[in-house]
Amino acid sequence: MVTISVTLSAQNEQEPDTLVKEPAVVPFIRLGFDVSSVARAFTEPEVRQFEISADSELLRNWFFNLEGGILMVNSEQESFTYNASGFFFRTGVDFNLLGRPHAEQNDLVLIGFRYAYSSLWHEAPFYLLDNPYWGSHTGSIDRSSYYAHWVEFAGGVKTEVFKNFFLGWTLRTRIPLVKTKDPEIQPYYIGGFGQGKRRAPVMVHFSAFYKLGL
Amino acid sequence: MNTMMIAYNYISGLFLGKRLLLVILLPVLLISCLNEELCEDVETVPVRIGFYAVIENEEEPVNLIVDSLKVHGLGKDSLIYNYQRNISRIELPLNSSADSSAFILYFPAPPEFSHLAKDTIWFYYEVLPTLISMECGFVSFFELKEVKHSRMFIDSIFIEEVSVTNILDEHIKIFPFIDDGDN
Repeated sequence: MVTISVTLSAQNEQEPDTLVKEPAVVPFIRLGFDVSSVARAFTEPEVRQFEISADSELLRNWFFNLEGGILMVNSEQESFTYNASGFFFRTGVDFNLLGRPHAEQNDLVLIGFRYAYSSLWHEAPFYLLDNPYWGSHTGSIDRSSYYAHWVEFAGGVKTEVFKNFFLGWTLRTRIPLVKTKDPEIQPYYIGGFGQGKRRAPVMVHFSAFYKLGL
Repeated sequence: MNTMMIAYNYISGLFLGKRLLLVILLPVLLISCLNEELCEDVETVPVRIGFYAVIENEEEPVNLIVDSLKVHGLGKDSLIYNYQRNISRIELPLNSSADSSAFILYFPAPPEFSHLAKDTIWFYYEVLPTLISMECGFVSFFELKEVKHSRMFIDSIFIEEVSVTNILDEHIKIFPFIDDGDN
């Protein structure tokens, strides 16, 4: 009996040592730049989108995000001219599935949710509609506004490659909520959303981040 | 080790080694490349039509094969189909410079009735100019508002899909009169 009680008592004393307490939340802000929008400029130089982001850990493993950017489309081709300009923003939270078992661990595996809004002006001063059977004709569409609200579900990683410098990607699926009803023309590209003709695009974002302590 | 540590070691061992970041990025990069839009080879987006018959004891209309069919636009001489044989689906180009188009369909018939074996279909729609891509430029999509027809061979027409785009959906079902052999 004595032996057993001593053993149990020893285990109880050791238990607190095996519990790993997560480090306290240190205030910071992490600024990000969407690299994929720059890469896109090489494949389709007529569409230019720049996007930045900021995130901060408000509660343990919960990251508040604010993202925004601008869009410019200018294309003058033989068969059409199309111009657009606008802005967009997204806000939402990410949850870190990894947790933070020790202070040196800054890598993140994230799932998240965003609400997003985009607004733009666009016009087609000239376009040609080719129709071999009935005959081709030209037209124009005056400058008009367009807006869209949508939500996104995201999943991805952020890895600290150097001290305070992170690289990461997220895979996002976008679900439109409300948009301009019966526009005269569908926008070619909706800032922050993707090509206007897509109903629910799935996009990949590559980003670089720098973490600033507060 | 608590559960959190075990989970972290497991996931980080699988996914998060910094040298593995590129390995993670590579397939994602490929996915994003595949996601890029290809230039579709489209000049006009046609309205797609199928021929059907309602058969007793069949829940769904059955696809019908027409022996031969000639089609041209109303007021146009050039033929879209020139007595094409064994045809069950046709594609008709709508006129993007108007808000309606009409087509005359000639069905197979004995020579003495050939002048009667034709129907006219009128499509009423809204033209939706759409910028497909920087390479392809603008293409007309359409939203069908109404379809009318004469009733020589065509019994009825059903609009399956009002949105005429480059998605390969069938938009119209045509139900010709069927000779059931009782008469």
